[in-house]
Amino acid sequence: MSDHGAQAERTGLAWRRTALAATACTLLLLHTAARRGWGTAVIPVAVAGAMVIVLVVIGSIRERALRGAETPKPLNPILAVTTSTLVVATAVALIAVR
Amino acid sequence: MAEINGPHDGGSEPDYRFTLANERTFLAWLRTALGLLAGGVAVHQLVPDPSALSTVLAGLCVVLAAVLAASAYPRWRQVQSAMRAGRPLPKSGLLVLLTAGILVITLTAAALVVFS
Repeated sequence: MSDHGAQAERTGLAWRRTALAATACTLLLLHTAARRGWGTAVIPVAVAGAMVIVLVVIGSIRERALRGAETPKPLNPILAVTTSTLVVATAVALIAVR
Repeated sequence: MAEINGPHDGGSEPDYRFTLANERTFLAWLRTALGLLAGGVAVHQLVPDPSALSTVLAGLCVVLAAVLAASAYPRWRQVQSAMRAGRPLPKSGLLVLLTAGILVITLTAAALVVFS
């Protein structure tokens, strides 16, 4: 099948949307840290910031791979594990600091 | 047929449309988790006088977020393997868990509104 444009674009957009959700989350955490005073509240902000960077980087790697002319390759499990681990790490950091 | 261990072993490569749909579902679970995380932080910030109940509410959001994010990858992997092997998709408790979790969060939020 040669026409994979819409599927690839949808998947690329899903990556960008996820990165955007992560950015919103990070901004909220940053706001909390600024209000409660910079202490341990910085830890979730740092983890969330790392999560945004990883999502943007992996998302753009993935988008580039999908935009190619050949049939799209499945997602590399390492990328999937890295992204979900960072989301979990942010949640755990929030619980630990709270 | 050989034993299927990983998302890239055995069976035959599934149609890329289904592979990409599975990837988007994985990302949608991550986004749900991120939304819950944001919700937890917002509750913690927006309640004027933080009480035990508001802490429980925020905690519930964050714990549910962690559970969903942690089960997103195993689910993606299971679906990928099932598609390769041509098996039916595995049953998922994730939707029930999410529904139950949201129900508990809603009830806690209602209790918070009533008792504060």
